[in-house]
Amino acid sequence: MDFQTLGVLLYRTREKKHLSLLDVCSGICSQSTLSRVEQGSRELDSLTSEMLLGRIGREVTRFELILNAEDYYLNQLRIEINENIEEKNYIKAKEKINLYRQHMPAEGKVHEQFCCYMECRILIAQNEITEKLSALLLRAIRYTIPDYLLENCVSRRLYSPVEIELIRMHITYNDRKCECNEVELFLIMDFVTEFYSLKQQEKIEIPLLVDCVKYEIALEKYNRALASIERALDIISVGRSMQYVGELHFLKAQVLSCVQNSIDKNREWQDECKRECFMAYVVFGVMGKKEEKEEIYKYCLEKLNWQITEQMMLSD
Amino acid sequence: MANYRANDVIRLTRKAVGLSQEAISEGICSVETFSRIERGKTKIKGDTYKKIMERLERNTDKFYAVCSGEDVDLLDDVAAIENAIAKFDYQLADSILGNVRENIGDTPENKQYVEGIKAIIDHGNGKISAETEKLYLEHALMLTVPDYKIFLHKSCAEVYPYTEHEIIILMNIAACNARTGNPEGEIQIYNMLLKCFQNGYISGEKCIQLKITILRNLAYALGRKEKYHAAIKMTECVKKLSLKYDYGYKLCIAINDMSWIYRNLYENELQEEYYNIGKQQYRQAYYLALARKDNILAEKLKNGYQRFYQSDIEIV
Repeated sequence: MDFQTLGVLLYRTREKKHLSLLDVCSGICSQSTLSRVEQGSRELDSLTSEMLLGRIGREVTRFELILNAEDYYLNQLRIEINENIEEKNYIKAKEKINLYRQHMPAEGKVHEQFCCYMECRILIAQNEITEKLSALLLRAIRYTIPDYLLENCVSRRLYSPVEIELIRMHITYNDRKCECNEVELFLIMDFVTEFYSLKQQEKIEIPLLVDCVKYEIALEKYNRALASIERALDIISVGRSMQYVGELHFLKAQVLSCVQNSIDKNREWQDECKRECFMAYVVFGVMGKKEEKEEIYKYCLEKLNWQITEQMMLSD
Repeated sequence: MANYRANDVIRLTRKAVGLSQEAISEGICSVETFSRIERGKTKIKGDTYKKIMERLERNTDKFYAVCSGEDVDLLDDVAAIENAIAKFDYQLADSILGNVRENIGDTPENKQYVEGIKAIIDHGNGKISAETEKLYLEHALMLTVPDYKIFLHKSCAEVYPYTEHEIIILMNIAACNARTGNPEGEIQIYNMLLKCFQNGYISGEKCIQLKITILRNLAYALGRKEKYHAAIKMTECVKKLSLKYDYGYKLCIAINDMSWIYRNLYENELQEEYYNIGKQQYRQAYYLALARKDNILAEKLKNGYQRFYQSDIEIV
C-alpha cells in the first residue's frame, strides 16, 4: 500500500529502517497509540504528528494536514510565537505562550515542551544565562526524553527537530559540562547522517555543522573543518536560507589563512581568502548585520592587508 | 507542511460548487451539525470528513502526502527534483523524473504531480513551448479541479480552497501567461491566489514563500510595463519579506530585479545615480548567489554583467 497517509508512512519507514514502535514514539505517545495511528484508526494533533515525522527524519513540508479549528488555532499561535521571538517582541511572545498554555490539550507533553522551548529561546536572546535556563532546558528535554543524561549507554536514539535544538542549547549553556553531553552530540550527528538527505532539515543540520567546524578549528583539524564547511554550504545551496551563509564563508577564510593553501588552484590562497571575506561582507551587509561586517573589515585590514570599500562594488 | 482549516475547506468547496448544506449533509449528519462543522464549532472526525469530502469530490484524508508510493525513498527523489528545478538544473531534474514516475502511486494527486512537473521540466529543457506547457499544466490541474477556469473568471467574494500543490501549478500557469504575452492572465491568477492566502484557510512555511514569489512576479510585471518606480517600491517590499522570512534565494532574485529596473531607469532618465545603483545591486546579487553556491544563477549574472558593463564582475 502506498504511504499516502501518516500511518502508512510511519509503518513503511519503520520497516525500512528496522525501527521498533518504541524507537519512534518513546516519550511522545504510547506504543498502542502509534500502532493505532499506523492502522489509521487514530488521529493525532499537528504538533505530535510533526514530532513523529521529525523522529523518522521526514520534512514536514511534504505533507498536507487538514486540521480542526482548535488545532489550526494552536498551529497559528506557534507560528506567531516564533515570529515574535525572531522580531524580538519578547513581551508579545510571552503573552502568546501563556495563551497557548490555556488552549493546549490536557495530555500535552509535546505542547508543554514547545512552550518551554520558546521560553528558553527568549531567555537566551535576552542573555539570561543562569541556572534557571539550564533547569528549564533539562525539564523541556525530559518531557519526551525522560532518561536524558540519566543513563549512560544509549545505543540508538531518534530526535525530532525541537529535541535536537533543546539538546544543542543545553550543551552550549550548561556550566557543568560532562562526558554525556558529547555522547548526545555524537548520537545526534549519527542520527542526522543516517536519516537526513541533503536538503532535509537544513535548519537543524547547519547549526550542528557550524558547532563542529568551531570544534575542528580549535583542534587544528583544518581539513575536516573545510569539509564540514563545504557540507553546510551544499545543504544551504539546495535550500532557501541565508542564515549561516556569512558566518560559514568567514570561517572558511580564516581556515584558509591558517592552512595557507588555496582550494581553487587557479588562485593564490590570499585571493581566495579575500574572495571568501568579500562574500561574507556582502551577505552581512544585505542582512543589516553591522557588527559582523565590522569584524570582517578589521580582519581583512589586519590579516590580509586589504581594505574593503563600498566603492569596490562600482569598480571596473 | 501546508495546514488547512478543515471547516474552511469544507465550506469554501461547497460554496464554490454551488451545493447546499442539505445536499452535502444528507445521510451523514443533521444540517444543524453540518452547519456547526462548517463554522468550526464542532470537531470533525476522520470518518465524517471522508464522507463529506467524497460528496465534494476532493481528497478524503485528513493527512496525506502529495507524492506517495510504495518505497519511502520516493520522497527523497521528489525533493531532489524540486531542488534541481529551483536551481534551473532541468537536465538533472529530468534524469530523476524517470525514477519518480516508476515508483509513484496512481492517485489523482500523484498523477497531477507528475504531469505538472514534467511540463515544467520539458519546457525548461526546451522540449516544449510555453503554450504547450500551459496546456499540460491546465490538464494536470483539472485532474483535481475540473472547474478551475470557471472559478478563475467568477468574481466571487469567497475563494476556492486550492491545495498548496494546486496553487503551485496555478503559479506556473501564470508564468506561462507572462511568457506568451498574456500579462492580464498572469495578474488575474496572482490576485486570485493572494485572496486565497488572505482568506486564511491555508498556512505554512511554503505558503509564505509562495506569497513572496507572487509579489516578486507582480513587481517584475510592473517593471515590464515600464512602471519603474512602482516596481522599485514593490521589490523593496519583496526584499524586506525575504529577509524577514529568511528566503535567501528570493532575496538574491529581488536584488537582481532591482539592478534590472535601475538599468532600465538609467536608459530612460540618464541619471548617474541610477547607473551606480544598478551596478552595485548587480554585484550584490552575484556575490549573494556565489555565497549560497547558486552556481547556475551566478554564471548567468557573470555573463550578463560582462555584456552590460564590458568588464569582469569579480572584484578579487
